Amino acid sequence: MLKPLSLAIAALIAMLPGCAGNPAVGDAAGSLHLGVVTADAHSQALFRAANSQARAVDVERKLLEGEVRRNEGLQRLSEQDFLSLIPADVSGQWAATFDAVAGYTGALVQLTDPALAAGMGNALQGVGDGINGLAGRRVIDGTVTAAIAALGTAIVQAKGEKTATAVIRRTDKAFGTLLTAMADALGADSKSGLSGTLADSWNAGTLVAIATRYSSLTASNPDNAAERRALIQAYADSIDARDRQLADIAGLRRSLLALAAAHQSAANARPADSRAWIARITTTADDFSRRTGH
Amino acid sequence: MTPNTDIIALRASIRDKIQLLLRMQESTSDLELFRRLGFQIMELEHRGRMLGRLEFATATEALAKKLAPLAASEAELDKAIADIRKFQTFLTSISKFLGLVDKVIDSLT
Repeated sequence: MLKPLSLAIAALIAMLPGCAGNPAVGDAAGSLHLGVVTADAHSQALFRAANSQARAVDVERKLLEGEVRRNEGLQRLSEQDFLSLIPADVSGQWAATFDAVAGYTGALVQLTDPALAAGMGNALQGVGDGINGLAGRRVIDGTVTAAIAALGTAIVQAKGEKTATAVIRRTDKAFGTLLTAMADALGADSKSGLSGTLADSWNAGTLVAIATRYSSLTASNPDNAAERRALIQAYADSIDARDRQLADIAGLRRSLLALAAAHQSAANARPADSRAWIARITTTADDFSRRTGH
Repeated sequence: MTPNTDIIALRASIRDKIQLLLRMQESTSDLELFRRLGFQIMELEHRGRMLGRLEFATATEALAKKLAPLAASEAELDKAIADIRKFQTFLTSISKFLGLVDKVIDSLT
């Protein structure tokens, strides 16, 4: 049977979560961290795909240049003709930004991790056992030692949750500003940001190159049905590829805004909403990964 | 105007020129002119893309300035975690010390 002291401690533990901490904050922190890591990997895969598209257009442009300028002197190749749309240092900065965000969400996860609080309980249990061992007899009753250890665990858990909740609330505006700026860099439509650049590279690059080759072919060799069919198919496929790539960029943009919304939900102690926002991010990234193998 | 708004205005101007050349391409039946217009459109796209590249790089660089509040929050969280771990280490060292004293007493009795 528990001693009165143990009972008092048990009553204290029961009161702790409600008055000091927010047990759901750990759940929200875990969701947020998953969302950040997922969006990071998704963005790097999209950047690689964007660079591949731009590189393909550069090759087509140089090919066409060789044809239309064949009588204008020496044709040259230069590295300037093949600059990456998103250079390694820029994708590195983008990754570093995600790393910094993950550092913050990772710290939230650590602080609210029950294992951290359990470590405190184990340490308190160890002291109680040590005292009993030193006295050579049971100075502190086992139930009391266990109750003190449980109290220590509960206090640390509640304190961690309280600190995490306060930090999330204080950081929410800055978190939203950062994620919105990242989303803006991707562009809200096919005329702005990275999305606009990619739309132009398809419309005024890939499609124009294929259309020009098709017209040349039909003028010079209209009976070559197989080659004409291949170009027509390439043109149609490029339209689909353009739409998918722009949809992928729009998906990443929505994921970044969803991360901001998930953080805001965590700040407002709505972990279920946080989980729902993060589920959108993982679904979008999974869909991209399944289609592209990235 | 910020550097990015300059870039955005220039890119809009390039897009207008591309649209103009696309319309010219649609209305011509001269293959050589069609091909030359196609090349000019691709050249304009390349320049627009270089501006887009710069715009994205500038926007990415600006993100670093927005990270400071998150870094401060992370430091605060790290300190709270370190404080807990420090106290745990202290308690563990007491346990070890008690165990050591226990062994000394055992050896003397």
